[in-house]
Amino acid sequence: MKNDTSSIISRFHVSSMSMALLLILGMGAGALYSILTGFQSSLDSSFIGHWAISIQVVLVLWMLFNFKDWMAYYKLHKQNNKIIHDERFVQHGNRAAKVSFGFMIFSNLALLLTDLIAYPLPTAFVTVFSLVFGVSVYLLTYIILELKE
Amino acid sequence: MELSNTLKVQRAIHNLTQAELADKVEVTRKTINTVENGKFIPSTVLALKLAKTLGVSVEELFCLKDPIKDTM
Repeated sequence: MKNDTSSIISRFHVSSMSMALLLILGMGAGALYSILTGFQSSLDSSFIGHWAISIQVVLVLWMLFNFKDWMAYYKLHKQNNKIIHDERFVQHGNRAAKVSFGFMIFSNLALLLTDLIAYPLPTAFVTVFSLVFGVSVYLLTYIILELKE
Repeated sequence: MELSNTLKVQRAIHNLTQAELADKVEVTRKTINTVENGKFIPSTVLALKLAKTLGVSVEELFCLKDPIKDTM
């Protein structure tokens, strides 16, 4: 594993985004499950509890695994290292935002058509699904762009 | 129209590694690598910084490649 500034920054971005993706997917899946099965009944169910614990365990392990890189990045930030504001990362963010916006519109249209033609969907489900889907696509696109180059 | 560059040649003339050039223009080594390979189009500020560091004009460093002309 390389320990130059560029590698530390790159690893920091990928690990932070993947942690956020795990968090969003965990929270989103829990929320969607609650909406679909009925909020009151599912909140106390063991399934949600197991799901939340599993996600939290993965998050803690992920944090421990990446702790060294985050500390190294924090040191770079404290030293006012200008490389952390690299324009390539900004461009990745812009491209990921465009892709996720497109996917969010597409998912909304798909849900609207499903609601109109096939199956009536609760408004809360549509809102949460679109948000989780959009944010997940943003994070995933960012990770793919970072790993691809 | 594609953007081509002579960054690799200019870097070799100045005997600089990608990491050294990256440090001078305050970007990551990966950014220099992606610019050299034509995967990333730099901003005007970065193009000017690169040209200044390598002591050449921006036009010498970057130029538009005409695909029709190239095939003739």
